[in-house]
Amino acid sequence: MDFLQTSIDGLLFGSAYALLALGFSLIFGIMKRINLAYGSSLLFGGALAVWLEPFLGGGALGLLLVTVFGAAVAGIYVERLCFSPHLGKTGTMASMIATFAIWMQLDEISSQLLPQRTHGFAGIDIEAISFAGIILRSDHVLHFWVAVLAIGALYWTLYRTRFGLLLRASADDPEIAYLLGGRVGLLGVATFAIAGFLGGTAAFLILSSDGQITPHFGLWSTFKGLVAMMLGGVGSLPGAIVGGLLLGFAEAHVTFYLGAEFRDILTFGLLLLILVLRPGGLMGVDVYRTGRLATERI
Amino acid sequence: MLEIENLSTSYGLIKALKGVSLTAEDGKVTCILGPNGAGKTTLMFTAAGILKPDSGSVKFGGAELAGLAAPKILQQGLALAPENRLVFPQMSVRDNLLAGAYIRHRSEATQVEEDLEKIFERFPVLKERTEQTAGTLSGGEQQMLSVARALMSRPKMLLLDEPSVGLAPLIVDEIFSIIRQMNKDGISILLVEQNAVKALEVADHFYLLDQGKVAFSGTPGEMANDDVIRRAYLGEH
Amino acid sequence: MSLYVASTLTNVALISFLALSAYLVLVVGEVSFGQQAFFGIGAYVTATVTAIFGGHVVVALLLSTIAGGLAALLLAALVIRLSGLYFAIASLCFAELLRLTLLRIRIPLEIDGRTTGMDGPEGFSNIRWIFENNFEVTDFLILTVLCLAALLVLLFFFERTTIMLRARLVGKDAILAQSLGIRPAQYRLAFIGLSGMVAGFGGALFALFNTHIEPQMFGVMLGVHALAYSIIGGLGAPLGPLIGVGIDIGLLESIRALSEYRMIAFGGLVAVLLILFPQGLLSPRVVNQLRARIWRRRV
Ligand SMILES: Nc1ncnc2c1ncn2[C@@H]1O[C@H](COP(=O)(O)OP(=O)(O)OP(=O)(O)O)[C@@H](O)[C@H]1O
Ligand SMILES: [Mg+2]
Repeated sequence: MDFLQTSIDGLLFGSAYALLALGFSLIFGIMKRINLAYGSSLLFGGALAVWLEPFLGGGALGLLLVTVFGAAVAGIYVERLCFSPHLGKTGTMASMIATFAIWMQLDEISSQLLPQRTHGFAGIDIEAISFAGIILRSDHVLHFWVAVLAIGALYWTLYRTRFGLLLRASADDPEIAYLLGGRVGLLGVATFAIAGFLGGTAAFLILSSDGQITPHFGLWSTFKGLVAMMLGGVGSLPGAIVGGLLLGFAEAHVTFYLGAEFRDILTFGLLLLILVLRPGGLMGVDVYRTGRLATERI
Repeated sequence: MLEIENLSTSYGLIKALKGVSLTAEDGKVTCILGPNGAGKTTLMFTAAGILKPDSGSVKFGGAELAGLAAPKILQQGLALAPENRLVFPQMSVRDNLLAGAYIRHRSEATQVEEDLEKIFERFPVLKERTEQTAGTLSGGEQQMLSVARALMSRPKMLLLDEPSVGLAPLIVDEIFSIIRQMNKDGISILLVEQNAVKALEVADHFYLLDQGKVAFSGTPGEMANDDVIRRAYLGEH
Repeated sequence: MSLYVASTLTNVALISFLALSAYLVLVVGEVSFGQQAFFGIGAYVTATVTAIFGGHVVVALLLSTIAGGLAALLLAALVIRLSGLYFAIASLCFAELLRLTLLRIRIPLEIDGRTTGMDGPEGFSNIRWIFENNFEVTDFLILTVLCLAALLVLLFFFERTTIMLRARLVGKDAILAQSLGIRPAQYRLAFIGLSGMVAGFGGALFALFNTHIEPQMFGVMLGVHALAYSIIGGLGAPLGPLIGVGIDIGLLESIRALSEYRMIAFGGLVAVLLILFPQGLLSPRVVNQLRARIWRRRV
């Protein structure tokens, strides 16, 4: 029973990791670059929401909207400053370091918005559901359903709309997408906005279930998103979902059987193991065999 | 009619086109031949709006295209199937084709579906593979998909850059018969080819491009012309 | 020289070791988010040797350098087939695993009535070498700068050897290098190992200077800073990373009015610098031009 309970808890919480990883993966898929400032943009969204809370008149909805909005705006800022000026092949390194610089900046701005460092983040109060001896924490169930909705919306956008077609085409070959008439110039901005939407939603879920926000949330969510993405497979959307759920599952079990202090050791140990054995991730390509490794620079 | 006049394009200090003038008539197949590095791809890219010319003009149906962005040029009815980089490898065949119709408006959705059917009639190999990931198609199939995708925008004129490169003779024949068929159906064609023998079989008119300039132009079949090509291009004496 | 200036300068010099170690990895075309691990290993080894075993400082520095190098070699050997993003993340995992392990290890000791030794998050206190040897802050500054200068001179001569040329080729295009008969894996291993040694040595000095170290000091922030210094300074010459360090700590730390907003200013500044100089200030191209100019003047 413990095993089942822990597994369910882990998978439910993992759905928020999946959202984080999806944001990462989307950006990597389109830009072929890593966005170190991703977690910081989410932190900025959350900090902005807390800062504006007095004007929002309480209520989770206001917090959610501001968090998502703040994350998306910060994402667009990152794209303009760190990605669009460095589109050429030689710009990969510059782009990555620029995202690091903006990471520092957004972290610091968020710290200024959170003068007491730890601030309350209004939780969502719903009764826990118990069913055949299994207790489902209601906020985790909410995570799960919101994640399902958000992933559904993402897939619908990508596979059922003209814009999604262009986005996928551009991920494959931006020049030909342009040749076919796509206005690819603003695609980056759109990608970052969507990633901000996904990540902002995840941030809201995690923060409200913790009931608090600290300036460490930026680094924390960058790590979790990155690990979940790499576990599943770089740039693969199903991989991001699987990676997120797997990370939640594994963390829950380690916490239960070994204690919380081993959770992060597991996270990084697992990732290192996967990188050594199957660097493309569980769902990704076999990079050793396909030779993709040489071309996938940062 | 596509009229290119005195077109010059450069990559930084390298001048790839040095005042090229040529005309591709409506309803005809016009062919551009030339050795490697002659500037054929550069010419196609400039006409399609991917490269900006230093000077000169590109007129299509009387409207000036030089300097316009690629999406605008496509809207005027000039579509390019580029050399080498063929398809969107991670997308399905069907999505590749739909991406080709990207500039057409949502209101045309039903026509796009009809065109898709017509494409599948013209390229039966693609019909069997609608949901296959394009990157897993064979070279010849990818080449057909590339041409088919360019057709999906309903162009008046199709620019084909070396459609037969790297393909087996049988597939090359198939590609050329498709080119002939498309032309019969009313699409004008500007074709860049290395395979001079094949190209001249379908061409109504040809240009010989060398070191960024038009070295010669003529009509296939005329004895004198064939002689020039053989000497200048095929390296026979 | 005021105490504040001296200790700021010492910190600049110490962090320069880390920046140079990141630079050595970048030369062979890899990005490492994990150099702080080797820095940390160097620091803990020297702390253990001097504070617990009372070993000679030269022995401590030597062991730290070796330990840093070995740890780097271990990482490199584990993931020698990886490059790009995969290598960067693997190095990050490695460093975080080390830091998390250090947080768990608690062997506090009582020596001469003082607590010392590894004590998890409380860190390693009372590394009293500089007190025992009556080192003033300025003395230590001089020592550090001399070591750094020696390293720079070494690297400067190294820069002109064919080994360095080949390593740069591996960094630019491993496949081309292979076709010329160079084995990229060997160069990667060697340079990553070397980078671990440089970081280990810097970490050793860091422990001596700070007298107290703790795992949190060697977080990912430290490593990515070192990386950023190399990139904004430029990869053309070993002086590049030092310029990067100078810009951050030297320039921004000295403008006290900015102190509260330092990271906001530094972040923005770096992003803008990278738009203006995507290859860093001392990019290989600039360095070659400078070299050509100096050479011509001599002739
Ligand atoms: N991106 C580029 N940067 C610099 N020079 C280029 C670039 N692309 C092409 N060139 C140069 O421009 C000239 C014309 O190249 P182009 O690709 O147009 O030749 P081509 O006739 O298509 O050759 P091929 O038959 O081999 O395809 C060549 O000298 C080539 O080296
Ligand atoms: Mg060509």
